Amino acid sequence: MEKRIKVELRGPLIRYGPAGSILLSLEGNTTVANVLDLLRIPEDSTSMLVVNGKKVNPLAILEDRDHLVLYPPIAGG
Amino acid sequence: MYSYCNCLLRINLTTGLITKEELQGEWVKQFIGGKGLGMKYLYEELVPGIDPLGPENRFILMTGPFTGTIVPCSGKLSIVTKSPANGTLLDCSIGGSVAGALKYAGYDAVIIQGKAASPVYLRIENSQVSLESAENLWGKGTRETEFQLRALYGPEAKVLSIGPAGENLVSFACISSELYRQAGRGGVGSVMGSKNLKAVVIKGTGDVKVADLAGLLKLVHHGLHNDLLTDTNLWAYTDGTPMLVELSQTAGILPTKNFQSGNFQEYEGLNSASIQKIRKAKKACLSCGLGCGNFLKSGENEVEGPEYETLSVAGSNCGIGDLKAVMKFNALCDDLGLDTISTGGVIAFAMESTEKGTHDFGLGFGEIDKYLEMPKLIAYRQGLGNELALGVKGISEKYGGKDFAMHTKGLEFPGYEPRGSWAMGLAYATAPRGACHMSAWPVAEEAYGERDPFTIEGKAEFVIGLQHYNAIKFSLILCDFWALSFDLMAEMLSLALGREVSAQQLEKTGEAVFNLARQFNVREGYGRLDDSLPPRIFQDTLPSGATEGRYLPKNQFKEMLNQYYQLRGWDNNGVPTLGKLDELGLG
Repeated sequence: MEKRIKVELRGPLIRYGPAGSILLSLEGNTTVANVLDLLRIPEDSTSMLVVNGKKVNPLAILEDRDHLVLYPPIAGG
Repeated sequence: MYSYCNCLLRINLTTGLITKEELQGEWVKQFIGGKGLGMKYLYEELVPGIDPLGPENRFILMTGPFTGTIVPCSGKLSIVTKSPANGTLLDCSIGGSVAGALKYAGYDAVIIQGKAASPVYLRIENSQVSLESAENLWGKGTRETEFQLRALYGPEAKVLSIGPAGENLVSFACISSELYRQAGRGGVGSVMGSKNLKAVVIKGTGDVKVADLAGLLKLVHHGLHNDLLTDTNLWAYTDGTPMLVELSQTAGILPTKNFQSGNFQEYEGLNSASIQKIRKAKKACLSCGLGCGNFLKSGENEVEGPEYETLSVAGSNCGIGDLKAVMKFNALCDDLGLDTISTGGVIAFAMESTEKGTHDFGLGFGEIDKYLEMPKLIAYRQGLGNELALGVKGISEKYGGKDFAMHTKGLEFPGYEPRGSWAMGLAYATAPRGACHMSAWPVAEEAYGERDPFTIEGKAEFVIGLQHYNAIKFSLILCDFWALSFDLMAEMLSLALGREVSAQQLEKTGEAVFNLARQFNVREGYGRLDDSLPPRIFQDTLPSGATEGRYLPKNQFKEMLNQYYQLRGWDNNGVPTLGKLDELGLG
């Protein structure tokens, strides 16, 4: 079954995708890590991974119409 | 003595005497500069128990070996003094370009002591140093003060100044520079006010000589491209600290309504996307490749900021989700010379107190008009403002509400809810100046990253490592937004000084700096009982979001603190053992 995933990139990660949100159509059990691979984003270039407003780990499986937001690492405060 | 001017300027405001001294060479070797070296001078020159607002207190401006060089992110100035907020050791840093100007004028440091008979400002123009009357500046805001001094000395003059809050000795008065940069915490501005010192104006046209310029240039060039301008650091350029609003909201640690919740319904009004809609320019400190500052303009409101700490503690924490209101609050505090964190914190406390009926301050969460009236009342100590000027600790002792008085050691909480970041709780409890996010910032890994925030396992060691890392970074002095390694710090320092310094030595120096701060506080009577958190953190569960149902059990906190003391080589009361002090060269 096809899953439609909306992806938003934050901060410097926008260089890995087009401006605005990205709409992906994916088949099967796709994880957040799979999306990172697809967009060629190194995992250590990310920090918080958020699906539908909740923090998840890279192995979280995405469902149809999920909204994924990817953040870069942050230093300082 | 490469990378230093080997000159300290000492100003006695009581006598008017201005002298120049060589730096204490052994102290420079041991503590390097910035925070560490400033603390060493303060520790040696003060006797315990003096009044922070008395003439005996020292007001120390300290640069570091990288200040004024090509090393990126080295633009900050350390300011070290005894804290008017709580009598602890206080170190702050301020961005912009004032630190570089001081070094270019030929000085590594300035120590100001005594008290002037009438308002003065300190003028430093290379070798020409004088005290000038500030009678016509006293009572003015920091903007007007800076504009007048720049009109007198030229646009290239760099200024540190206080506003009415510092003059009126508010215990959370700050210092401003270049209109929008602040040394914010612990009432550092009121130390200037207590000395009748309105401003410091600096012009410098010299340079800084490093030992191996070609080697340092090569390393910095490589570091810029491979270590600084990378996915790890460039959030500071693309967004700056407002990015943390969304992260903290998701992690359930965005302080809301005086830390009653970690989620704020109106957070989108304060997030980075909202900031970027009205952003007119990016701004950076001297030598910075990141440029974290966001210059905003909306109608009559213009400000550099608000930074995350203001958006959270003076925004969501006061129930305010209107960005324009927070911008206006930020601009008012900057001009009046108030720390936005503590000002937001004490207003939020009064709002909850009113809401709960503990005491009616006539302030409610989200009431924008009243919220915007408070900074001026506090700075001039008028009416309700005179009560709020007591700070959260003082006002809760006078009117009740200690259970929700969000401070540690009398310093108001910054913008991170420790019930959703237990290591942050330990960092607040053990930071030398009180609840502080600059001593260690475990939030990135714990609340925003993959480290479990709701366990004490491994947290003591984690926080200690971060405290040493920041202690050395702020001694060198480098910006905390550059996540560079000890190895790179050591390589750059070796080339700048012309002698080998290892990463291990720097780690040990970081530990020595942290222990020196502890020695200072122990000497002032601080101990285990002060290394704590407000009762709310141990008693109340958070109501919603990722931290729903969470609190930090007091027995878990005590165990974490025990582990921390043990790993540090401190006794059960948090006092460094003689063995530890000897090991660090502090005996």
